[in-house]
Amino acid sequence: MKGTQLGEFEELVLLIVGVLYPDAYGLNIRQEIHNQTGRKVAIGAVHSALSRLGDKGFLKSELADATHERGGRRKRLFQITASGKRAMEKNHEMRNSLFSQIPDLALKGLNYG
Amino acid sequence: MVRINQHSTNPPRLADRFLGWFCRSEILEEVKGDLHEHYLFELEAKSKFKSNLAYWYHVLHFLRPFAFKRKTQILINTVMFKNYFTIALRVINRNKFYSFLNLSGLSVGITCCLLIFLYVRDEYSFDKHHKDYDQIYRVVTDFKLGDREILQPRAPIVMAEHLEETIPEVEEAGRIMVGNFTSVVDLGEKQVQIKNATYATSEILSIFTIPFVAGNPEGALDDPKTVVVSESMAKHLFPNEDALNKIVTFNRDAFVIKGIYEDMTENSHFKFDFIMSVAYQTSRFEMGWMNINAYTYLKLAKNASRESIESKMNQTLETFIAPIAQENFGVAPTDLQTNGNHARFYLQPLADIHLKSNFDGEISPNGSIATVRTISLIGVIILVIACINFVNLSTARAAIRGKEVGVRKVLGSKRKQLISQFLFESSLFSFISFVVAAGLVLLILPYFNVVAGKEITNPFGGTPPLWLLMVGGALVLGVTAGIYPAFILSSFKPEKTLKSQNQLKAKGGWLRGGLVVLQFTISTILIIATLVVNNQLNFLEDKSLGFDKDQLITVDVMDLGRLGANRDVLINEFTKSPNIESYTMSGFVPVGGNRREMFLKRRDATNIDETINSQAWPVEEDYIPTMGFEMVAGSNFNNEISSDSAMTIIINETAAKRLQLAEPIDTKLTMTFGDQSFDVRVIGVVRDFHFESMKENIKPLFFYKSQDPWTLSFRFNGSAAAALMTIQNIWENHSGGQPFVGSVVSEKYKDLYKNEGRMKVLVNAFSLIAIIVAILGLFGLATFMAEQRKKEMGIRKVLGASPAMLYFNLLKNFTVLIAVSCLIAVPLAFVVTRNWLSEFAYHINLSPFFFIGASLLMILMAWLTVSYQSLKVANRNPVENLRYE
Repeated sequence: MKGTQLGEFEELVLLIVGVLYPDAYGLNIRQEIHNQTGRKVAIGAVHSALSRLGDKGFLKSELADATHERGGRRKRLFQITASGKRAMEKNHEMRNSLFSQIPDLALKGLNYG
Repeated sequence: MVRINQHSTNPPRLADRFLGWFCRSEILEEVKGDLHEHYLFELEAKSKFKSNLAYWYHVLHFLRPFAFKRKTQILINTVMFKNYFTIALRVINRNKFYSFLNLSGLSVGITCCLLIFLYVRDEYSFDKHHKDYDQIYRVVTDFKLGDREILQPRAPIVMAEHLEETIPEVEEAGRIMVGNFTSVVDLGEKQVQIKNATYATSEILSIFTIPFVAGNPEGALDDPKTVVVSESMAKHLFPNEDALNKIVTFNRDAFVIKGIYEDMTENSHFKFDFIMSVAYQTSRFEMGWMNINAYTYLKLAKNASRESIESKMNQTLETFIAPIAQENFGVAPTDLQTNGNHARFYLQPLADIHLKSNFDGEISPNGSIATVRTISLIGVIILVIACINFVNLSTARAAIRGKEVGVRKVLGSKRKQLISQFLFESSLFSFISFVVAAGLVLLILPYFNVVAGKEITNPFGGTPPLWLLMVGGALVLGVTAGIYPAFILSSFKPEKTLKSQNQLKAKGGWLRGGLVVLQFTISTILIIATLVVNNQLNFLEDKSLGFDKDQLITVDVMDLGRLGANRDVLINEFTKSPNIESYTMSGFVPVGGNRREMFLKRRDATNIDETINSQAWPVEEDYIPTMGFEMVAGSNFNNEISSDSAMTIIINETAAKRLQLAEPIDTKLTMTFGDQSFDVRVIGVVRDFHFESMKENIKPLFFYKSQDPWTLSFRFNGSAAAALMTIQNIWENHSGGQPFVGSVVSEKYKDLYKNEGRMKVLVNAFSLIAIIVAILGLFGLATFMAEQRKKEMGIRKVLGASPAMLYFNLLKNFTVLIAVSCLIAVPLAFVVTRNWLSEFAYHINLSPFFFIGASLLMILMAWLTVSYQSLKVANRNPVENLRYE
């Protein structure tokens, strides 16, 4: 079984898929990443991440109906699965928990560097 | 409008095609969809070109593992390869005879190629063991000033120091003097011979990579009486002692051995065992710009450009050369580069010296790029012939494999798989041949080394290692030789092959014939070329040089001043010795020395054509008898002072002819040298003799009496060693302490033609092998054809044909093929050999014998080859021939 850890970019894609529900597919995910974070990535990178997330079982997908602007080609729409949701929550909790454990001093200390 | 619009919104087709090629089909649709949508989006904002670029960018970004096509056949392939392997072994096993022919032809061919490769690689490796060899250059002098031409690998004696001081890019400059000589040194009472001796500056030791085992190379040769020796020379001089800091006496001076270095490799354009300090010689030479005697080597800075240094070099040098040119040759400084004059120095890369440099006065004879190319070409030819054998035998046997192909196809083999099966088989053959060839190379290498004059010890190493090249070569050869049979065999239609074999015979027959013709055309050309080359080389060897080179010794004089006082004593001693028949001094001997050119003009000349440029050799009275030249007319110089004031000269036949002198004796001529003119009178004509390479026509030449002899020549009787000893002893006692640089002329000649001799042996051997491999192929093919026509022959015999008729019937096909080959080969060979011969001023005539003889030989060999099988089939009982089904 492949590792079920979420990479940073993978987590971002997973979140965006959630944001765009129910219309998330490769190109508008890329566009949304750009809108939300200013990051510009190759379409291939998005597809690659989606494929990895699918392999890990965090996303499910199906082919939608054909539209005109794609030369009649169908697009693949993505949705978050239950285990995808759990993985996101786990990440989120872990981050919150870790952040709350940081002593104030450490955060203040950051200021005088 | 809409149409155009639609047209222009298509993304680049090539990118789409590329995507379709690598991307797996399951995701291709969605990927393409996204890319197209994005492209349309881009088009709205950007130019077509930019959008296309962006499209390519995104397509290339899909070059990720997740998008690649999955290889699902890998598992099946390994299983199939096992099967291929088994089948291949069975095929080899079943047809032992064909397999043997095929493998032996290929193995012999590959063996030759490997040996040739080793030879060529060795030739190219010369001087490359020196660290930073690509930064090391030698200075070549190229002057044409008036009637004097100087083109030689040496530079003025002061050049090295001058360049090091004036040009910052020159990191180091050193010089070697006198080249390579043989002499003796004293060790107490004992005298020991030393070989490969020279003089050099300390810089030479650091420019070149000369690892020291004892002592310090830094400044080792700065003091005049110092020497560094090779390990073997150290052992030779002091067998059981440490040679470092010991004293050897050379020329009555005590030299300290300052260092011992590892023996120099043979793969170098020089090999010295005894290097003395050049400072010892400094007092003997005039340190001027016109003393062009120093082999000058430079090490340039890493990024220095050769051209810029050459131009800097030539700029500075005009200031030095111009006054001398004016003084010595009457060439005005403004004329230095015009009016047919030129004066320049150029840099020769170290790595080019061995193969591409062939000047008068190289340190030792160099190799030749022409030889290397010829041998490489023969190597390729052998390989081509061996490959043709392989193709012919494989396609010829297609009939037998046809059934197998049919069955495989019926059982579902795709054509691709069949092709890969046959390629696998041919690669297997080629691998086996390479392994056999590697064994043969190891076996033959010691003998090959002797013949080729090489010392190759580790044949499969090197960079890149040969074994790696061999693995690659085996694959390439396997695929090249196997591709055509693979396509032929895999194209068979199963329904036909399984029913009958009729379609197979026709297939590839034409090509097979064509390939045989090609093979034998090449072989016939090779035979003709070999015959012509051998005849020409023998002709050169046997052609009389015009003088007697045997029983002749020459001694170079280094310093005339020192000789002067003792001259009479020396001559007296020489003439007293029993094993010296005659003795003379001269400026030049036919193997080398100093010479000059002057103009000769008829006194009654009416036009410029009657002035000739002629070699002028200063000689003594005894020169002509000592060298064994033949007088055609007139007499030799005599000791009496001539009756008139004019100088007397002796000219050669060519000079007489060029001056159009019907009665040369007593003709008065004007000799011009620089801006000086002298009246001269011809007193004799000497028969033409060769004093340069046989490739050149004999040039006009005259002798004049002079007292500046740079070379002593001796005609001796008895053994060369004894005579050399006698002369050396006399020399040591009376020459005023000059080193003894003596050599036997016939040995120098042998050295001069050593490389040619080797080349002849190698070319002959490899040509012979090429022809043998071709014959081997023909034999295999003949055997196969005879086998194929067994049934036909049986029927013919039953119907009343005699064995002789059958025999000729079988022979006919091949005779036609060989005859066609000869018809193609003869004109080609004629052109090639005529071109080659035209490079020689003295060459044999191309007699028809070469062509007819070679063609007949080829046909005869083919008949002999084919006869064995044909006779066997023709004489067999027809029952046996017919019963096999």
